[in-house]
Amino acid sequence: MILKAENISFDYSTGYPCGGRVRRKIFDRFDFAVKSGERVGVFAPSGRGKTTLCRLLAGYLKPASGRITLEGRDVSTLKGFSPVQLIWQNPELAVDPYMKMKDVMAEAGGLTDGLKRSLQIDDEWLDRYPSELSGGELQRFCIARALAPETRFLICDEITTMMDSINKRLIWDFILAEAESRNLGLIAVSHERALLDKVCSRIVEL
Amino acid sequence: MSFKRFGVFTAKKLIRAAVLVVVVSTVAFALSALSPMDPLSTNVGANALGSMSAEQIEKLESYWGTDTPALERYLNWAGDFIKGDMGTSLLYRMPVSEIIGEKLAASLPVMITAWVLSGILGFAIGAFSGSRPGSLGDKIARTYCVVISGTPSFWIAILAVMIFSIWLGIFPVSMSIPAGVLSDMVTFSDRLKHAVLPVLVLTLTGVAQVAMHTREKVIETYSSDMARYARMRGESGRKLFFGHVLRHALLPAVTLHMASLGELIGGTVLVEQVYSYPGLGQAAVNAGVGGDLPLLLGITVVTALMVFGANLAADIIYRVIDPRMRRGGGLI
Amino acid sequence: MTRTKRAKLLVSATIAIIILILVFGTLSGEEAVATDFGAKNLSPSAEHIFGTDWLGRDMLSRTLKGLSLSVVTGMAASAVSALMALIIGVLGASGGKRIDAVSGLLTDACMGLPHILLMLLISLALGGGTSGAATAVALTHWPGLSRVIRGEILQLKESPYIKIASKLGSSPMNIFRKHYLVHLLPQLVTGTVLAFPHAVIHESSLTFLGFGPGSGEPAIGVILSESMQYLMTGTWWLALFPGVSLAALTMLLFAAGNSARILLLPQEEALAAGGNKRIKSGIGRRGTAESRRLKGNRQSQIDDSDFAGNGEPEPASGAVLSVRNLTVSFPKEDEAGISAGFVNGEASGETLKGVDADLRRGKITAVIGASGSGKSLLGEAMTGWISETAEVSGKICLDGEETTADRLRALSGKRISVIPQRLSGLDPLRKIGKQITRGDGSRKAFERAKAALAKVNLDERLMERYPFELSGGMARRLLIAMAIFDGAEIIIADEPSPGIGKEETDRILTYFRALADDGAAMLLITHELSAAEKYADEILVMRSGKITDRVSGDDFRAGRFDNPYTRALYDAAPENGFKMPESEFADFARGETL
Repeated sequence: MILKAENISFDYSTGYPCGGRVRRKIFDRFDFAVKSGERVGVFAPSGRGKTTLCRLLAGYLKPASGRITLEGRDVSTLKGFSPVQLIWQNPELAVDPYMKMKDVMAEAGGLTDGLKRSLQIDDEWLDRYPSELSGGELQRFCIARALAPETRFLICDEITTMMDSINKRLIWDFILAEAESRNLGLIAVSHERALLDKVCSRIVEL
Repeated sequence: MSFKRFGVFTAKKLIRAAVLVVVVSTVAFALSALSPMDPLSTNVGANALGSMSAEQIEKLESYWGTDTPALERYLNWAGDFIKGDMGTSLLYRMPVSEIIGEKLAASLPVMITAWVLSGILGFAIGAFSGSRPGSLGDKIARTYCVVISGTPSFWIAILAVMIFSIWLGIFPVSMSIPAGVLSDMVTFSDRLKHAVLPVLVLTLTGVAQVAMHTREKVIETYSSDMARYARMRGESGRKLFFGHVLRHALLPAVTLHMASLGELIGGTVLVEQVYSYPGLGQAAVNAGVGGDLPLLLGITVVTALMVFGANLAADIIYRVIDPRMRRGGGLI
Repeated sequence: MTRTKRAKLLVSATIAIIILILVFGTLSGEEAVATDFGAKNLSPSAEHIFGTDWLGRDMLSRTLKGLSLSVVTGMAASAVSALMALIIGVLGASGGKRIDAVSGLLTDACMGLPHILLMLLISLALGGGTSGAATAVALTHWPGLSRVIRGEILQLKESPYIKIASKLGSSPMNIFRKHYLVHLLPQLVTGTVLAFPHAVIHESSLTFLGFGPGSGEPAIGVILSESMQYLMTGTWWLALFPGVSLAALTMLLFAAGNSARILLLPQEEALAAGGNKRIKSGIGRRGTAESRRLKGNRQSQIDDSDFAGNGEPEPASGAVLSVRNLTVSFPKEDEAGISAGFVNGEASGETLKGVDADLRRGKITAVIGASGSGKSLLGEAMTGWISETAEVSGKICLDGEETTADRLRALSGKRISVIPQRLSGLDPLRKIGKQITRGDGSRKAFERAKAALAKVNLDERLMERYPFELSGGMARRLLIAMAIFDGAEIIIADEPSPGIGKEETDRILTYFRALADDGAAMLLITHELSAAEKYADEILVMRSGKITDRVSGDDFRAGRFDNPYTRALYDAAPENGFKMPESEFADFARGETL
């Protein structure tokens, strides 16, 4: 399968951290493609549009011009479980604070024992609300959620940026193993060049 | 902000005001027109009507406007209004604008005084409370606010009359000037004495909302990252409050209080009724009961514009004072 | 009694009282209007608890009847207005731009008039009376709640988890049921319940003005307005008891409404409680006696005799700030921990176990480890800003002499500075210049502030600007400048490079090195090895609250360390080989990712 961004353009009104705003053209006739089984890294310093690209590729945003397609079909109009799954940078925002973790997982079809083991998810946590878990624990749930059986492409948006090296290594070990055994297309987005060099077979710079 | 932006801003607001006036007056007119009440029997009395000739009744009907269809009456009124003429009051037989002017002159000082006092007092109480949550002072303040906001304001006004006027005899019971005194013999202190209770009641009731809101904001600000960092730089007590917390609490408090003008006017209506204070509120009630359409419409539009004005002021204050709005933050 | 228990009690009591009012109100129907000229104007007595009025009518019966009338109209009105609020709110948020504009206009028009006036008009239009007043109240109460609902829906629509839900294949119906409904229902119910007392107040106010039930009926508003005429004659009970009863009822209803909110929104309570836990407050249990000594008991005088040495190693010479055998833990109930000082809150959940560390002038001491390893808590302890509920033991020494947390806190901004991780510590409403000088407008302070800015290559013109006008990188440098202004003697730097690129991190580290070279004693807390490695003079490795390794900067850079955990951390970094750690270290850390 091929996930393709063809000739896309996108601009954004973006904010400074303390509240000001600036308009920016992020993509101008940009092309990008990933095949199943490929591991592509997207490298750019902060603020250059990495998160926007992730959202465009996963169908959360539509480009101002151009198309983003999976096997020819526009990703933003796919129905049902999207084969292109995005793991968001902030897990706290990616889960409904009023839902227990078991229900959060149920939305994606449940949590297999294998994933539970590999990600060291405690059974007891399933009965908790998101606010009762740490950021790291939540993120592992989000990773598990994105790895439902129907997933074909996995986009990781700076998911290990704030982790220490051992945690980072363990998470990527898991993701790479999953990607390989299931022939997933992997897109890793990060400002850490060294990480991308180790994880990806090909790197695209923004 | 650039002039062009300001111009666009003002234009948009003016249009909004105009639309509001149209909608409000239409609604008010429609509602009064729907009223099954017959202004003739209300104002003239069924007995008197019974003993009138058909001609006299016809004249009255023409005076009170019950012989013309509603839409026509509205359009007549609207046409006049645009020219600046609000018509003539049927009850008082004077131009509506004059009456409103008179009543406003009586109500406005009371309202503004109460507004300013309740704003300052409310903010002070809220800031005090929020700076020491859980303390005795905070508990007292909160209890006060809970009790006041849970109690009908007209009841508080009655209570005030009972305590101050009747029991203690300090303040006059009603009206805005002493009864039986010629108007040019009324002194300023007379007016003052008669205004005290209404102002007092309106202030006491107006404090609660601002106080509670400010309290929340102050607590929130004290537990924010910003306050934590300030403390870690050695700022505390007065420095922390006046340097940081005050500003963050003041802005929302001011805008909230400005926007509460509508409630203040409502409170004034009730309080004036209790004290028989001849202000705008009383006039509205009388106009309503008496079917005095021009006056009712006039008052409705004027109060709607006042509320609109207060909200607009709140909006502008916010945009002018918050530096994020002023510089590059985007105005509209 | 817990909040929840109290809330349940209040709600049940209120329901009971309402039922009683309705029952007795109905029963008193006849008595309320029965006149008895032989019993005119009687003051309260055993027979007539509330007294009688000028027609000899029993005031208690009249009051009860009036209250039950208000209760019925209040309930009906709040139910109707809640329904209207729901419909208009939902339409506004999901019906498209035009419908939203219309509903917005309607809302503005309704709120543009003083409430009483609008109700007055509506009641008039319907001919007054009980139904007129009730309808007026019902038709005017929806704007507030509808705005809340509309706002909630709009916010939900934009929430990532809603968007994710549809990408996970959830049908719109399911998304509505599992997400929207769960978020909206509590708001709706509490809104309705709170509308009840408002409705009662408004109905009685309208009636009082003469736009409700007429003078025959025993409505509270009527009773009160009529009683006014007789106040001067001394029949105070005519106004007092009915008024107090009304006020008591409305206050009770408000209290019940707030209790209902507590009961219906347990998650919000939990979230608020979690947030509240971050509040630094003097309230809280005070730990053990030793911990009190260490944290500093504000009342007691601290003198040398308090600091008996107990055989612990003396702080190293030349160390300006040291800890010895420092142990910090939080009581079970507080396990979320209370991060009193640090701006990122990462110290929650951490503990420290017998930690020894020194900060020396001119030296950068880096602390590395996973989230939750205790590195943030160590930094926090060194600033003295440790929560009241923490159990602390061990020794903290300043300039070689034992000291307390109180004393350390007193040095905040003077000898001890913190460079926080997040930019949210900056006040958006205050000019940069004033923020640096902490409100001091004197020439001297300003000159010093400008000098501090210059040291981090920031233009002095920024003194007149506001934080939001800075880019992220500039804001970070500003935080460093603020520490410089404070004297830059002892600096605790928390995560200098949170998710920012290598270039910028390097620049910041260069500033840090310069500060140290100027004499500062710096503690650098970071999860990134490369940041620690670059300029540190000593590197402390932490795991589960303990320091597992101490390596000099040079040794670390040369790879000369043999502690297995340190080795695992080092080798796991992508730039150092990206090696999988041994199984004993292959555990996901507890911590935050931020």
